[in-house]
Amino acid sequence: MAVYLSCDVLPEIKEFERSSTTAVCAYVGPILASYLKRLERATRSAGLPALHLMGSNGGILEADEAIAMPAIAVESGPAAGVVAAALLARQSGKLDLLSFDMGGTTAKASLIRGGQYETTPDYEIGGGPSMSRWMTGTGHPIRVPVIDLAEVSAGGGSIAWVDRAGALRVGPHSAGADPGPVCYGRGGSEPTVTDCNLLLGYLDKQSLLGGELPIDHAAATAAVRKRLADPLGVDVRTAAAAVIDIVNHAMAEVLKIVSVQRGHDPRDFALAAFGGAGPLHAAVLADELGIAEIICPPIPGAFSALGLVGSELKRDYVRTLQGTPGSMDGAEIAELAERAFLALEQAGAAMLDRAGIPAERRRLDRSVDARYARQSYELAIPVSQRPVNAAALAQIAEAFHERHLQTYGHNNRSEPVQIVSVRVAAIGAIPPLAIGDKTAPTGANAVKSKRALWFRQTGPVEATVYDRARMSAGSAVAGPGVIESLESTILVPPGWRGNMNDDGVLVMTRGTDRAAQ
Amino acid sequence: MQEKLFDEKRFGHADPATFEIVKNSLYKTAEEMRVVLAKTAYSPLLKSAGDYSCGIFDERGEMVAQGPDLPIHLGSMPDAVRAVVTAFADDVHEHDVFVHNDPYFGGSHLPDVNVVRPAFHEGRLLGYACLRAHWPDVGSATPGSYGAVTEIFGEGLRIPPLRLFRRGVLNADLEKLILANVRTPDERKGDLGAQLAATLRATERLAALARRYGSEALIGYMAQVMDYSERLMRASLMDLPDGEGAFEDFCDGDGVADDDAGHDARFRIRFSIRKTRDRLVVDFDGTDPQVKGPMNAPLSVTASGLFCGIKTAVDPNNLIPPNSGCWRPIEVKARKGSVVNAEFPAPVVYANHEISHRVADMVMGALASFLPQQVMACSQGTSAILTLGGVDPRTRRAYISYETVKGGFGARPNKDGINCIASGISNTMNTPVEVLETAFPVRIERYEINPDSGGAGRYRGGCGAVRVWRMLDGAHATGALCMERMTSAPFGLLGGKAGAAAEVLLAKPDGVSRQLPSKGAFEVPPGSVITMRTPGSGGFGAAAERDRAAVGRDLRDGYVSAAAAERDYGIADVQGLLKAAQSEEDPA
Repeated sequence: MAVYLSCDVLPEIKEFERSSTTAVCAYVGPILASYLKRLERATRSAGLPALHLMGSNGGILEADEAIAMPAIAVESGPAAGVVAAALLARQSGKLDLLSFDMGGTTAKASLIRGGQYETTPDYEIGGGPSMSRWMTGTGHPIRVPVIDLAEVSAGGGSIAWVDRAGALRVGPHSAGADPGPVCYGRGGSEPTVTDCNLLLGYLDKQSLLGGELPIDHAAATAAVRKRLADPLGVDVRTAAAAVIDIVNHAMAEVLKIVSVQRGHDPRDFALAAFGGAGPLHAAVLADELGIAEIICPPIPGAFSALGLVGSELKRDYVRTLQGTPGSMDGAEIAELAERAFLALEQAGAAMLDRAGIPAERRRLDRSVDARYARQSYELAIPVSQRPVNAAALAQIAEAFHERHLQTYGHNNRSEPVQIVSVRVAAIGAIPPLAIGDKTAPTGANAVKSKRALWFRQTGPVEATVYDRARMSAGSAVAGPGVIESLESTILVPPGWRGNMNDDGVLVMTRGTDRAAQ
Repeated sequence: MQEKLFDEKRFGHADPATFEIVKNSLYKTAEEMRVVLAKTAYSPLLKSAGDYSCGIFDERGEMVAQGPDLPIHLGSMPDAVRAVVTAFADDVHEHDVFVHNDPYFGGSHLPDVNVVRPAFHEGRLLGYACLRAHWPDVGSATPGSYGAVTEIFGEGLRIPPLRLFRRGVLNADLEKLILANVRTPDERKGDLGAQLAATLRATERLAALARRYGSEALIGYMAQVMDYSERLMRASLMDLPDGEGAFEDFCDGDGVADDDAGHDARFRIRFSIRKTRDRLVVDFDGTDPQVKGPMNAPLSVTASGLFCGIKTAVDPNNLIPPNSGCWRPIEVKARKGSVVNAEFPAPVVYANHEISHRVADMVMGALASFLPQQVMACSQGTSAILTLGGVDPRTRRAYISYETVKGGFGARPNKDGINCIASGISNTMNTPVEVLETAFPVRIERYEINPDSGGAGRYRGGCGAVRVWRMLDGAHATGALCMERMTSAPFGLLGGKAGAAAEVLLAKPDGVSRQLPSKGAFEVPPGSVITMRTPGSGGFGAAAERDRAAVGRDLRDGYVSAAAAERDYGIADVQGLLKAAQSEEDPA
């Protein structure tokens, strides 16, 4: 029988969170272990390199580390997209990015600052859909660092409906892949976001899976008319545009959660748009948030997978500082913290030894969880001073006051700052990865056709449709335009311009100076 | 086709998207207030347990959006904002902040301190943000302000609606007066700072919405959001059959002795609910007059309990956004001077949660006769509050610990109850033992599920908890208790049995042990041990109809003892049933 001890799994204060984290480990541990062991045998016998997996914190882990602490791998999926966006940030030199990943059923937003994503120590799994990661209480808390992202259950498959009070709603139900949107003609009868994108011309039968899928435009129109336009007393296009407005607003809210709610102004960031549906909605979101620049990586629909191979080896270690309140002076606290840091660094170094990471590619990053003595939630403050002494503590306190002001809009410099836990992130860097589109453009003229797009502000406008595969470095697109590729469609609304750079990344900028109202 | 929700004349355009977007933004704003408060407050009650509510209000004080906080404040928050509107009328300016806690001016009880901040855009008043937070102490003779007094004057500092900031300038005199009258002023200053930060965040968001859509349009949409909830509420009521039901129940007492022997008499609450098409009339005829001790509810507190019970029954999936519009179809009749419609200067502190808990549970009893599939059995029915206060010998600083301990959540028409969780009007969390022990000179010696406390039934009631506190050496405390359901156990419905009643024991180091009454203060010398058993909840449907395998799982999980399985469920072969449950594959 596998036994997990909470003192091994999480030597940190708060019994409920610690027990819950340990229970989650015990619950997923046996299944994860048997699966990983089988997979590891198979990859080894196939002569592949050592098996690693993505941790919830955005670092990769050796299989044994994940088996010892299964809770650190539960959110590995969403983490990969953010890691990929961080790579894109560093490569493109746009170090401050909002990452926006929208697929068929969910959209996720995350913030990258200085080329680095952030993690949060509080997380809950298995609960209801939670937008802010803070509206908790329905799932099982785990106290492991998880990439800080906000999520909304809305995507191309979300169903639009008119409720009994006559209000238009989008989601939470999704048509999923089966039956899918009405226009797929696979039995779906409820209009979805994808159907509305089709009616407005943002998508067409050519852009949905390269035209390989038969698209029933008439059925989509009929469904929007019957379910939405008629009950609302508006025409079909107005109804479809309203659905897109609502879904865009929900997306903008998740982007605000990771920016505005954390004390960052989205106008200081560029927007990285990926996932199958991300590039279709990105420009409107950028308008809403006042963002001036959007970057769309090559193959946006599969971009998240890139994060898996572009990540660093990373494991977080934490220890709560023991001590009776009010009984220690600064020197004693500093000594206690330094001892804890050294012990954690030793554990981290041992892990990096086992992974065979050479000294020049190692990093042991120190941070503390700090709060005002009587608060209950901490802010993470990086610690560069070594060793930690009384002077270092004063600098940590100063950094905490600043961070508190930025995050919550107030601080209290006369209040003592308490260090609750110390953390060490042991990182093994991997050789840098370069993102690029190395496929040669397949034709001289990237223009495929023209079609009408419908915007509420302008009515119908004629837009040029481009084939991304035929666009070469330096090609430019002036909105209104649509750039189609096999797994994604980029919408360039009126007033926006797109330029393909040398790495195959499409950079969109607002042509006129139209800030968010 | 029904009447349109959007009036072109009012908004200048018929835009179905903007309504949804503004509505979502308003609710998101109330949620964001919660984030700011919880992450910056100082007292464990606010930062961990979450005893507060956030709301957005229109210029008249109607609630447009409530955060996902405490149902207990559903009915009374609008009165709190209306009190400010009434008191200051035209004298409200940008960057003003108002503060008050008076139950006779729209408050709930003195510990609940309301911070009300108006939102402006280009000089136009848009509405208000209000954050009501429970302060662990507001003065009075008892630490924690939960003493069994006979007038509101003894319950602590009463703050009528007053201006704390005028155009951004603090009224330092008022702040000093408030902080001079509470036991832990540094901590209260931190909590007040968190309330100010959260309401500021909300008014900034409202101003941004007005910038975007126009002040008049925003105000119009705020009205529409309430109409929208009203319309959904009426439609949901129309779906249900008409009927009338009544329910009667007794409270343990008011904490004040009614005879020379020190006996605290029970008192009666009774009401009927009549549903006709899309309307409900609730009549408290037959309810006892107000009592001497602090179990008297202002009408808005009673209404909160009613609204909570009614919304749970009528809208069980919580699809209707909570705001003042939801309550328009409900008429409440209660005689002034009765225990559910208290008159000044009756004391009120316990009633805030104990009467609203009671009324919310009783709604289920009253509706059961004609809406049996919409109701649940009685939950724990009390906030089970223990306050401990004194000087911490480790730091020589004064402290106040305020805990609300969880019991059973009532069994439902299709599911068992839930063990040890907040229910009904309450939505607070557990106070973590390690946080408590770090902050206060106590040790928690036991905290566990109490077997056999869930009422037997086709669906079993949830179990209550056992929690044991020991005062550390050198730590002398004054304790106070505020509980219900010690003498009238949480009722079952449709043949389900009642859950176990509550019990609290105090064992002093001199060996003397006694059972504590449900309410009132007591001395706790160092080394004393307090043992609390919170109520379980009632069962739903007859126990004989319970699935035998479910009884087996209850035996295996320790929720039901062998003796109770025999007695309550008529199980002959308890060991056999237990073995079967133990060998059962867990549903993976």
